Amino acid sequence: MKKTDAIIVDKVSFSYDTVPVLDNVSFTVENGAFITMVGPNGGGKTTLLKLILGLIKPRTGSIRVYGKQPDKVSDKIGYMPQYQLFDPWFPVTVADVVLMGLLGKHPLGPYSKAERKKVSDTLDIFSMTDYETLPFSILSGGQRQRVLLARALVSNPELLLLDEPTANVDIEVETRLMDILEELNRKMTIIMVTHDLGFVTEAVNDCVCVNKKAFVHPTSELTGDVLQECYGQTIRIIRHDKIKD
Amino acid sequence: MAHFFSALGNPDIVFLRYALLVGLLGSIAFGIVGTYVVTRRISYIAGAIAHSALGGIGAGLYIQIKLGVQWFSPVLGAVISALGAGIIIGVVSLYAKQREDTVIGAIWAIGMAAGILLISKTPGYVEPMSYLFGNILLISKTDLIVVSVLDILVVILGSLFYNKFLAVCFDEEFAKIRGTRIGLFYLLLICLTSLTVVLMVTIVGIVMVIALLTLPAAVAGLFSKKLWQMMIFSTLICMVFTVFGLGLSYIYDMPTGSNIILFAGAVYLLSIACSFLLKKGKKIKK
Repeated sequence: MKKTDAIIVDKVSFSYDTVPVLDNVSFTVENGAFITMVGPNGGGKTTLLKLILGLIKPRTGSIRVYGKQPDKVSDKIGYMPQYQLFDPWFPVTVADVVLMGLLGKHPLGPYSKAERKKVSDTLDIFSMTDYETLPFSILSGGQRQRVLLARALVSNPELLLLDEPTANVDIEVETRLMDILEELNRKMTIIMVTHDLGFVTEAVNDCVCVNKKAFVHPTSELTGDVLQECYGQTIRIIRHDKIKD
Repeated sequence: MAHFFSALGNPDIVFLRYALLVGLLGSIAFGIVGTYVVTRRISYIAGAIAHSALGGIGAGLYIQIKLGVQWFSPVLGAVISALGAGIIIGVVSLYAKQREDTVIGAIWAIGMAAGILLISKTPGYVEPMSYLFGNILLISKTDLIVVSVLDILVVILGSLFYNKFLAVCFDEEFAKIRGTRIGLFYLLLICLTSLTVVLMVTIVGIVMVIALLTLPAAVAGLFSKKLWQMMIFSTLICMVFTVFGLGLSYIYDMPTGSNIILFAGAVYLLSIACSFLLKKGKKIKK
């Protein structure tokens, strides 16, 4: 293995019961890369993410994250799930949610002052320290996403995995999130599942098209034909080129 | 109500004080475990465990009376069957998620049917209704000790593993990625639920256990910001339910168990309606 590889996916297949989801998928993610995963619904994007996280195991093939089984290096991985998946009634504050990011190294009993300080510092990146004691349930979609991103970052991961961070947020929130991710990419490898093809901007190195199979394309070579092949249908593409001022 | 409080001080009516004490002590276990049950959405599992306990009670009675095995008490049978049912449901929900509800339904029905069958085949007369609604007015000193020990266990485990349980209830996948053994903590949570359910079932009955495990926590959840706040509020609410239910049943000479349950149910429905109207009102103002 080359030292520069963060993730190696080698001939991986996966199926739920008898329904094949991924078929003989292989690709490599370099350390420090910014990758997006696109593809149609049910194409296997989230499954691939869960395989890299070690939440599920491949039927055949292997996945190595920093040269090891994914569940052996989970302390190096930060994960941000889709925010819509949470019970809106759950009694939990913003600080409580972010503290969960420190659960791995935390012994039994209450969280320490140092751990709470770390949470405040991480929320500060997103200018959300004022929200610390508020219930998670009263936040807007964009705010919840930032809290979940803070939870993923509070343990100082080397690899950040994001599942559809741009679903159901407006363009302003999306742009801000993208700026934060570009900044984070200087320190860590990022893989982002997205539905939103317009989100594939210049900061992204490669795009993995996942639809049972997976193909890696450099973002610069991403054309309508390539995406159409991936989605298997006609799609509309709008380019969001940054306007430099 | 003043009449009720003066009766509590009357040395001749010991059963009333015991009933009140068991209600107050039980509220601690109900408040803490109920909060986990409601937020993790496993009240249906608690229901199945409570009914499977009847199977264990029936087996205990049958083995003790008909087969003459003196040490095998109905309570022991209930504890074994409830923990067994809890572990089966827990393992199924961890490893075969899509069939969880079927297994819960099966255990619910089989446990109850086995209980009724075994009770009917046991010599002597046992009223199955007494296990459904229990009789909070027949509390012994031993019952008070059992509930106190349960409280201590629930408080110790609940506070020691608070952060783990919180993470497992809120976001199981993330807890797993952060290195938490979610299977272990989920099963521990279910065993703690089983133990609370079964010990309280033998004292206050199946229906009251389900009511006091879920309704106080559901009401507390409407205004709690944090999980531990929800535990404290549901404990207090549960205490209010038992005191008022007991008081009303004493004053108007009505069955205590159903009185407490109906009072809890009425408060629950009212608070749900109020919170719905409040939210609607806020939206209109906006």
